[in-house]
Amino acid sequence: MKGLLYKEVASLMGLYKKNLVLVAVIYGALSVVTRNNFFLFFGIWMMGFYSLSSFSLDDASGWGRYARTLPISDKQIVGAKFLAALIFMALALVYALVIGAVCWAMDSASFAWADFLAGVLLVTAVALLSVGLMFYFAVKFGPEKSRNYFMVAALAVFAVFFLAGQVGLLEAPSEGDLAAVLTWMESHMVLVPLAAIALAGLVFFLCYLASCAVYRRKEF
Amino acid sequence: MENLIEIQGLCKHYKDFTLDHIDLTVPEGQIVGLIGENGAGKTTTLKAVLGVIRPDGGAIRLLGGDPGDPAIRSQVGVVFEDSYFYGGLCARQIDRIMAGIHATWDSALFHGYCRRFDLEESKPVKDFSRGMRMKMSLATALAHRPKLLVMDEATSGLDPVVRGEMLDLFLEFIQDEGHGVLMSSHITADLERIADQIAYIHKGKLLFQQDKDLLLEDMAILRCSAGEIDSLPKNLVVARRGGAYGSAALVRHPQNVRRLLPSAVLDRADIDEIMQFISGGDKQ
Repeated sequence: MKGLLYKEVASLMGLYKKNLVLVAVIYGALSVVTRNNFFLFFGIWMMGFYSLSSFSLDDASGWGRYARTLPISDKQIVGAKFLAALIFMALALVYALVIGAVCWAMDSASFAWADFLAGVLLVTAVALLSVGLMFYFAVKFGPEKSRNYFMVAALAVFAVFFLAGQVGLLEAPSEGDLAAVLTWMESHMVLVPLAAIALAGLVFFLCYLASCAVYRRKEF
Repeated sequence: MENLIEIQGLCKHYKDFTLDHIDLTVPEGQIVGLIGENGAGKTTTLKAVLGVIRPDGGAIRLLGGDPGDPAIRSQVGVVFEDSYFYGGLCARQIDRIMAGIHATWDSALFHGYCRRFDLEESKPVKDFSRGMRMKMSLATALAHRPKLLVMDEATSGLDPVVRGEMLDLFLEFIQDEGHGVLMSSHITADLERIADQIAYIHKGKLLFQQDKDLLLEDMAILRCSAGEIDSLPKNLVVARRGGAYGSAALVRHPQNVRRLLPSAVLDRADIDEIMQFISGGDKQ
């Protein structure tokens, strides 16, 4: 497993090393200069997205066929990919915290740690959900189709809510309702992001299990 | 002598191809060469042996166990047609990866092979020539000290010097009587040089698996008139072809044929010619 994990991380770093350094410098600088956290938050999601490339690299090099001849299980092969994605997202999360600390050190009065941390955790939850689903699609349909299937899945979720609203199954929330939800969320600044992370983590794990089941049936 | 690989009645069905009841063995201390035309089923057979694909029928015993068992796989070295690592990785990184995968990985042995093959260890695999990549694959396949080597077209596309080096290494590997090699190749001259047995797959069926020396002694090309070929007993003629300049046949037991047709020309048959006659692919 250690070797597999190293293979995933080393391959991705080999592919993206220069790009990651550039992105880190630009996003870090933009965040500090503009005092806008968007770039840091986006970086977490983006790093998860980057790790999807490990499937393309494997396809191009024929690794899948070779891996089946090695003394490793299918769960380890798939698990190494999911773990590598977690490592990549964790790196971006740590980077976001470091740049957040820099922003706070430069202007502690206007920097709200609680908002920042809640944002980081919520974005991490979204990244976990997205990456888990995309990885599952990549195992089942291949990396190229994975992005398309993910888009379709995301659109399908929105379409369900939209159509439900159109046929009167969902009532449009009033301004008062929205305000109440926001107030409730603000008063649970710790609970909401942590619950989101827990839920996304569960989905990520379920995607891993489903990917293992698909991978076991695959032939190369 | 124990069999390192035993295949009985292996079947695999695809939409446009069927591997049909293959029986094959690889005994200890032997190199078995798998020959056949493109698409004949060699790679499919090797994939099934290695557990890469699931057979639809038949039984495979690899080193006395199941091909899917990681403990069994750890004793097998595999070389496919090309490298299987991301091209940006170098030999040092491959060493680290494999050390974390094989419990018996010997880094010193791997570095030794790299030195022997003149492989620059810090150079990305993508910058190697095809020959260098194949050497890297071979070093990777051997560095965990496997009992069995399984290779699919490992020498194709290589220049004669590199091929020679690789063949020498296979012969070196087989010096240990407990080792064995199963290799597919289109370069039948390589197999004539190193193989102990030849297995011929044609359109998904195994036509024969035979001791190479016996095979080459037992077959010959007969060049004579069509009438003379017709006059031979059917069991002596394996395949025949006619051409503008006369007829030729692949015959068994050349000494018997010579007795029956003393004036006919009998040439030694090499593996290429045997394949061409049997497949009927050499129409002149």
